[in-house]
Amino acid sequence: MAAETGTPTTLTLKSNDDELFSVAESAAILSVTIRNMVEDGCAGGVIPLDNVDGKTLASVITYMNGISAIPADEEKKKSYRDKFLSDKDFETLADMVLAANYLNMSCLMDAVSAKIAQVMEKKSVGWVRRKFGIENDYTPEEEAAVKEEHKWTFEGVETDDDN
Amino acid sequence: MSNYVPTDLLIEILVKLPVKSLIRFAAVSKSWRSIITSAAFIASHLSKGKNHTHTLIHTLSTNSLVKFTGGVPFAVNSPSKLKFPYYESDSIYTRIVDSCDGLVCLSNNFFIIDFAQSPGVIWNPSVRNHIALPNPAINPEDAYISVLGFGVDAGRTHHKVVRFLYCRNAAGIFTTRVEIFSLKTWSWRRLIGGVDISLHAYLSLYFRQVFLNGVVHWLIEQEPIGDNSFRRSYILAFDVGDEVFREVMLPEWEAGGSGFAKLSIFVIKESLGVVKSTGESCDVWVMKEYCVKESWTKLYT
Repeated sequence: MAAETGTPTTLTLKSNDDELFSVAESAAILSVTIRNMVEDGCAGGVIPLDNVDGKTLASVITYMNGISAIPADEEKKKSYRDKFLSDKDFETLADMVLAANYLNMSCLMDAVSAKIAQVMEKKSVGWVRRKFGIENDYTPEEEAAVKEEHKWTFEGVETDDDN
Repeated sequence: MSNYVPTDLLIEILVKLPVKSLIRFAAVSKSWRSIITSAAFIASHLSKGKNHTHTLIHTLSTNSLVKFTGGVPFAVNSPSKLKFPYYESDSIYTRIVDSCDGLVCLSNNFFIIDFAQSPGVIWNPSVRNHIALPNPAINPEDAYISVLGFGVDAGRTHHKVVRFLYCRNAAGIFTTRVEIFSLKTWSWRRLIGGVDISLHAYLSLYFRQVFLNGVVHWLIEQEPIGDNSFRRSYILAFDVGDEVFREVMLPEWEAGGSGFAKLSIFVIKESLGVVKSTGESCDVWVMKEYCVKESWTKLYT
């Protein structure tokens, strides 16, 4: 842990595309995965994070620094999270949800998954398939039947914005 | 980078979506449909929604329904008009029996039995589905009053409708018979033993039921039982899980005063409450410990 006085301990994190990042230990241990490594004493050198790319890791570190600078005030933390996620596109959010899960950061995980849900809410079935990379395994007849059964849920769907 | 999201993370996201989006996304793929329609997913979606309360108000004069959505009572926002889920012109199922976990039980507005009609409808306003209950098991010629109750067991997995029937037996004496409809088995079943309810009490059954922790409650108002004597008012409780009737005692209020009091029952902070109003005053009581008569406490006068 950080020394009582003097300069705070800094950790070096390495993304899976070999970018190196310095981050204050006090912020980095928001990740339970990193905290466990620190507690086990294996954080001496560089901490390799094999499941996170540099772009996503940079974003996560921005979040770690931002949120840990806010004192224990849930309201303020929530508004920081909202603001932090407000300009992120779907691809970035999808990468972040995977990173938050790997790093075991429940607050980021909750916020990002809620944001993705918010982005998806009014989207079309086609949009969701493309964004999540899902293959449509319905036959055209089956799909028509499923859609016909709940017609009203297709009211008010936004026009796709990804074409 | 591909956007492949593993199933457990996908569920984290989907569980935060509103019902309308979820039903639409069942058309994404077969595996999405099986996730969204699985019992486990529905249960976790339901528990996420616990803090969102909806109030359904039925305006009798215009026979219209309005839904209010709000986290806090009275801080209502986004009221939306709903339609009763069946034939407009012939809307007989317009009595809201109660709602549990998003399901609303509606019954026929009439006391008197019409054998040609289903006794009620189970309605899910969020998914806009409704199903009429099938014909009951007991349909004796001599029954002339039928009242429904609705609830879910304490484990919140088994919804049941309870139906009280006031009917004449072979000896010509009127008694109450009870039958249960299980939404799991989708069938009616006679409840052996049943409960002893007088004709007088049917009015109480009809007015308002209160559902709390797997038990349906009705406030049965005091009734004459003979020469100048009265049976005290009490709460009739039906445990949805073990299908047993019990009586819950009301507070011991000053004698004499209750003669002309109007009583009503409600739920406050997961406890049963009773409002007793006379012409002059109004008392609010709450039963702090369930089924412990001594725990009745007067909150306000």
